[in-house]
Amino acid sequence: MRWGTRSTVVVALLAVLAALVVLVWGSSSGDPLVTAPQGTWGEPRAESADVPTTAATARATTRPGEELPDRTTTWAIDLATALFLMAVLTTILLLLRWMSQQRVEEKERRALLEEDELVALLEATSDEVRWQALAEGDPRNGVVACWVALEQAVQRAGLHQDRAETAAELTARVLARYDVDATAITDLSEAYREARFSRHPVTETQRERAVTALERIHTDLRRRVAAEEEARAAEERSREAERIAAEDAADSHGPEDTTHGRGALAGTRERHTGTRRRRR
Amino acid sequence: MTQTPTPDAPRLPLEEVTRRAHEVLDRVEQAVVGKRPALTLVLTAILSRGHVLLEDFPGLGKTLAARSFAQTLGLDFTRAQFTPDLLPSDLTGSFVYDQRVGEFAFRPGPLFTGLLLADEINRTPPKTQSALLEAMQEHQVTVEGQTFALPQPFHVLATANPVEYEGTYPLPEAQLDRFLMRVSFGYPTAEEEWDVLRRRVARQREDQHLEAVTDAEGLSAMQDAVETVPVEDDISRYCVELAAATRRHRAVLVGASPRGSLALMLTSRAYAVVQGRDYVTPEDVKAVAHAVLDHRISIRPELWMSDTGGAAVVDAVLTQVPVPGARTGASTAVQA
Repeated sequence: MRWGTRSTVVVALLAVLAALVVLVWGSSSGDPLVTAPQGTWGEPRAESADVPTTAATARATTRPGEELPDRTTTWAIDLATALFLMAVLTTILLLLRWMSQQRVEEKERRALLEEDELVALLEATSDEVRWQALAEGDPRNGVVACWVALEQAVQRAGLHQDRAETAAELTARVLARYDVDATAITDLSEAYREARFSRHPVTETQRERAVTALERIHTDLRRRVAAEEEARAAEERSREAERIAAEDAADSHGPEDTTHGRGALAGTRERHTGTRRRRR
Repeated sequence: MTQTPTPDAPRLPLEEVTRRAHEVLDRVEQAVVGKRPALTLVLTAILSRGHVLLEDFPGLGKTLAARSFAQTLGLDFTRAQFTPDLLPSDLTGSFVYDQRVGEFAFRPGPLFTGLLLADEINRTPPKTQSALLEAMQEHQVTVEGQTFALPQPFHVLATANPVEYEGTYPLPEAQLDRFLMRVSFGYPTAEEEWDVLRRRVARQREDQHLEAVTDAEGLSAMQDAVETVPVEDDISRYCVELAAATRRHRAVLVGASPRGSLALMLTSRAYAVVQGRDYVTPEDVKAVAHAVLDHRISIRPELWMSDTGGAAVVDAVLTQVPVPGARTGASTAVQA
């Protein structure tokens, strides 16, 4: 659980507990927590003056034959209230815990999705695709093949297909999502537009330019995948180190006054040191 | 940019058209600061042989832009202030009795020019508006049964104020359709506005004169060169689809006419040339779509009080109509 979520839970817990205490104390003490203000607001109206004061007093007091509520009944009501509030509190806590778990799961799911997307993009810009583009008879078809490969890749990678989107708009969307060479993808996009919509001949140089652009995108993606793997490994290592440090700390608080305890602790430390050495 | 060698190749290469267009824009931008996209659209309309309606608030440089374009394109410039008492003959000209020769001679009006600034076109009654719009469409005027051809090139930059409607005669949709584009400059940023002030102080006078980049003949040659640029069938079909989609939109009473789709294709072609290309892409069509289509769309009366307008409809159709892609319908494209 993150610090923000934890602090929210603590605050919510304290607030509900405070409310609980105030409510229980208030209901058991017999004194009302909130009373009507004393005094009068303005002059009494003329007609109210006709009402006999004794009648009002009689209504406020207990009528003959009516009994005060039993003290046991009051405590039962208090107990039910407390139980109800505890149930609400438990529900809130469970809800917060569930939300926190959902967030973590979503983060993990997105990380996995991005990994899949990168793999799909890598496949689509692979050597094989570039060779196919070079093997196309007409350079125009070769250039368009490079763009089609990229289009298919981003679709497989999860970017939704928008048929009303131009090549430039798709380029902007890919750039916003992936950290790839902007010049390379813009070059490829321009080469595609020229090959697709112009009537003048498309040269071998233009085909090579498109293939080179695709290659640069591939190199960029591969570098990014490698960097992400490295970052993941580093995170794993740091998590492992934290776990070992926590175990060490737990062991150091154990029984150190007996020979057996000292021996066990020394053994554990030795094991961890050995693990660290092996990992290095 | 490669030019396909054809027997009827233009005298003016497209590279030269692009160079001149950029030079014109650079010079106009010295007077109208920081409005390059809007100025590009205006020049695009002129290169497509069209007329432009500049709709904006007062003081945003509409007149200055028109004058600057006239100066840099080397065109004769006249300005007609459209008032409620302006008559058609005040624009077209009229026959005046010449005592020396003893007969009526035609005295041409301000329409006989290269670039006419029709200032506040919505302040004159429909009769005079019609006379102007007829001249715009037919490139000729008829006075007392005699027809006079207007000089070529002839372009109208009309201005209209979008807020003051009292005492005005708003142009009906049929007449708005005659304008190839409707362009708004909008307010400048603080930095641009400061630049306007700085340049005025540096200039030490109110008026400014811009050097001509070309002349009337040169502009005609540029327009002829633009005409030689081919447009892929898929692009033309895309223009048709966009115009048709505005007619099908549920908020629309009357959508863009076939004149709208034609205007879309012509202006996107000129826009491509200004961008230095001899081929038109869907990006070019989208770049000019608002300026070409917004004013051709009539919204249903029940939606007049809502935010729905021509711009919203065009936005919607631009995000719905499929663009010609790598795998759709082209003979040259790879079939995946």
